[in-house]
Amino acid sequence: MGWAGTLALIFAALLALMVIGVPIAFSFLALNLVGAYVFWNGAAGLNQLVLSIYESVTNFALLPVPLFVLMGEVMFRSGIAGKLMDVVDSWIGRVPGRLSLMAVAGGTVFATLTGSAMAGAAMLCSLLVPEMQRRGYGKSMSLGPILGAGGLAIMIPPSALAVLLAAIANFSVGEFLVAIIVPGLLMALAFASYIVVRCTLDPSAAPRYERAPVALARRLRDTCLYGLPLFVIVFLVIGLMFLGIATATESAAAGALGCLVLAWAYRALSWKMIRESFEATLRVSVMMLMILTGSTAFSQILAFTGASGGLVEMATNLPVSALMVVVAMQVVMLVMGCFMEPLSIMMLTIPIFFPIIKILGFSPVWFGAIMLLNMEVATITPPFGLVLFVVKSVAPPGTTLTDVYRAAMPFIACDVFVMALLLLVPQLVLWLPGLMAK
Amino acid sequence: MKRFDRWLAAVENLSAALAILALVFILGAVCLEIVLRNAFDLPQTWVTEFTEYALLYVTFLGSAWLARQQGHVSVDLLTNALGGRWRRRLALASAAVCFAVAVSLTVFGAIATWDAMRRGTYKPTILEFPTWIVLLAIPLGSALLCARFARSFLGLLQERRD
Repeated sequence: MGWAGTLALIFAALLALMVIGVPIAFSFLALNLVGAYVFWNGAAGLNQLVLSIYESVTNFALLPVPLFVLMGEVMFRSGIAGKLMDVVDSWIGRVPGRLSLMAVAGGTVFATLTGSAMAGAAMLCSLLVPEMQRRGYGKSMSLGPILGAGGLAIMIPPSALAVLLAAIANFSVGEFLVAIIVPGLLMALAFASYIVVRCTLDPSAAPRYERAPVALARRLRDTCLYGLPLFVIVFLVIGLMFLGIATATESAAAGALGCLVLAWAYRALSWKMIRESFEATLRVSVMMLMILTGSTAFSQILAFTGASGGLVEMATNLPVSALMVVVAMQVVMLVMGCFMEPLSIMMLTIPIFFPIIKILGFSPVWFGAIMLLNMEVATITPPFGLVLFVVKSVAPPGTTLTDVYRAAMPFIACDVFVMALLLLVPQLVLWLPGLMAK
Repeated sequence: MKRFDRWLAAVENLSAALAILALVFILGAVCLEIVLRNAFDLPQTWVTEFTEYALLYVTFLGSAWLARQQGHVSVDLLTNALGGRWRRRLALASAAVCFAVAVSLTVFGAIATWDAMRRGTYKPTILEFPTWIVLLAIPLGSALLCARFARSFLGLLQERRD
């Protein structure tokens, strides 16, 4: 059997395990156990597998993951999200699709505090949808912006998924976290432009309404009280890293500690809240890290079977331009995203795609940023995007899954548009990390 | 069975509490390192190494606790679409696969740990910290996972008989 057959067998076995409901982490481990036994000389191979688990997880690059998760948990439990939304509310004037734009602005602000698209979308839904309903917003303009904006959490640091991507693909986490900022802001801009254009053309989608203006003094006071500390946290996470003062892990720890201090200052810190935050952090971190235990062995097995090398050779010999190969890889991941969640897609594709990218002479940071955007899309592509279900579960009664699917479509299109832009203009990704102090 | 459940849950909770302590250690150690290095010019070489090790402990000590809460993410499109009987059969198959994985990791984890201890392997850094102490997390956590998956397998069997 050639490498193609072996590869097909590996993927088929893995998908079969996942489909019958074996948790993703254990599907990879089961496959690795069989693979290690077959390819690495029986029992000796299984010993080697244990060491590969140790190597996969005891990786300095992964340390920001639990710290970023903790940051988000503390922030959401401290009730500061609602206060921040009020601040955003007070500064947005009488514009078309006002509440939809608030969802985008709020999503961007939350994204600087958390890396979880699900948490962000759920929070935006509970804060904004009742008001949107009261103002007669259509579902496309209430649920859609929330689906899009929730995903910004993945694209703007802190982002646990970004850390995992960089760690699995083995390039600089710090550089990558800085690189995804511009693409993330571009997404927010694309969403906002779409909302304004759509609501101007079709005012019934988001009826305008009058609201009592907030006094300037009050606005300034609230911004200083709730907005300014946020900037300090953002500086701790992104600024320290950007200036080369701290590593990604150190910035993440400073950010997490900063959030705890902030929660204490807002008198939101209690033992119960701390306990719940840490328990939730443990839950998410273990879930992600357990999947990661299989990463090293999986890519070693793929390399051992000759599949990685074979695919690299095939991709470089294709009679199409290198950029087309990149586009094809992104399309493959886009399709996978309709059915799978981001981390398993990353585990499957990174060991195959990144060697190809390097041979083709592209920057892994650039490709990774587009891929991360693609993973963000995966959380909102029908039929199985996770955030779709989150939004459905917190949306007002009577909302069908079809409503949610339909609302997501224009925002998926915005994301794909930004992906195309990044593909054509790599500088959008590479410019900011190029300015970093090394 | 009830007594076994209580004991298993208690051990899992204890193990998860230790995992949370490891998380607190990571946060504290990294923050301490930032202060000591920048304010007092005292770089702490042990922080990187020990926080890395703590990650393995977090993962394996928290794993059985998470499995009890069905928190390991899985694909449920097929299982949700199926009727009661087939759904249970697949759940049994899935629990069996997980159990087999956990047993293998316990056995070979223990062998690898014992091996590292016998040979006195250590990571080639200044600390020369023995590898077996780190590896120990794998068989410990996996043993607990064995118990958890065996328990869910038996639970599903019993459900069928009722």
